Amino acid sequence: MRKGNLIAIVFISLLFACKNPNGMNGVESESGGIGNGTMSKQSLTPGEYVKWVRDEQHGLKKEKTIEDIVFSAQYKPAEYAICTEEKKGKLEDTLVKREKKDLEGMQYFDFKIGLRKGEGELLKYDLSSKEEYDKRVNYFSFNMQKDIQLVDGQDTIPCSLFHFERAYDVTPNSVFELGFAPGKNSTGNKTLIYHDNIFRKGIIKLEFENKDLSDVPQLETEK
Amino acid sequence: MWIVTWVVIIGVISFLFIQQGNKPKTGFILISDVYGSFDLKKQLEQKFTITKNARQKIVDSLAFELKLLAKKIDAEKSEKSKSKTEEELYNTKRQEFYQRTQSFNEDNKELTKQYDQEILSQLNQYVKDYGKENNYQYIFGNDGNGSLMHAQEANNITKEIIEYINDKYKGKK
Repeated sequence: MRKGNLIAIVFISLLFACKNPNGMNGVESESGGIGNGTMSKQSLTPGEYVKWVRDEQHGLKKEKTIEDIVFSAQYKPAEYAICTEEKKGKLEDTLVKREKKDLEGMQYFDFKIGLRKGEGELLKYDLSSKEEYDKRVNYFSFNMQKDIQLVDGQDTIPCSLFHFERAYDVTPNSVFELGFAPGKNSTGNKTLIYHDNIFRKGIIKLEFENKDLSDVPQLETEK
Repeated sequence: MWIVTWVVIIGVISFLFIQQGNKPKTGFILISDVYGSFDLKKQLEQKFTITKNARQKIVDSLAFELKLLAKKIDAEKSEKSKSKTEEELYNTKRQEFYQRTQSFNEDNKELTKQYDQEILSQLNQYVKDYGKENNYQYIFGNDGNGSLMHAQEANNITKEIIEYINDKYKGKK
């Protein structure tokens, strides 16, 4: 009978362990993260590197959906910017070093605003007049920059590089390339802040954890 | 034999346990508490106060200028050396004062409306996200207007929602 009780206790314990989503599973996923950290020490080819950075699981891409609008931000390490610029399967070490030097002293992000349904043109979404369309184009091209900030640790940094990539009906989203000066103390998390005045979704905050930003793999280069 | 009995008992317990876990839940929130504790609301309130005060300063300085001009005109009246240009200036300033006051009032109203809309957009989305993530079939909003007349306190998830929406707003989730 004692043996029976023991079996029962073990069975029930197992049941609880399987059920609790924050229990073992949480630990497992966390150790998966650590595993990724180990992975990140590896060298990746340009293609793999770009794929790695774009993978939301690695924490360099953040997304937030408010009703019908999706806001997302991609942190761009210098190597990522070089890979996407060069679009080559292999990159020479000297070229990477040279381009990295050009990109130094700034932190780069791609900020994207899109429609949740994935169809139509963002600039024409929920439009009331032609004037409103022109106002939106004008705002996205010239005035939006002042509504974007980066909180880097304790510092709030204004957006100093801004470029709006117009899609012209091709995609249901608009992409903005952003650049910020580095914070004085860049050891904390970074939060990208945008106050959406066009679709009236309020202040959008996307936080990047410092441990993710510093845990990026190396780019494999050719000597 | 006893092993079979135990297996059956455990099987039944597991079944009931899993059933209970998968059962959609129902909860309610105190809307005014959630709204009042939402960080976006606090931040936009601050932003609005700054804008409103800046506008008020402009109106106040116009009112001050008007007062000075009126005093000057009154003094000149008693000296019988009334200047026509100053009276014209006074009328122009007065007109500007009324126009500015009216336009600022309208702008303030419009800004309040815009910020309210922004707060509600995010609030509704985050409550929806919380419901989906935590398997809630219904989350009722108690705003004291009688739409929710009774609910067990155990189903009050106001605290959890406040914590969740503020984390979501900060971009942490």
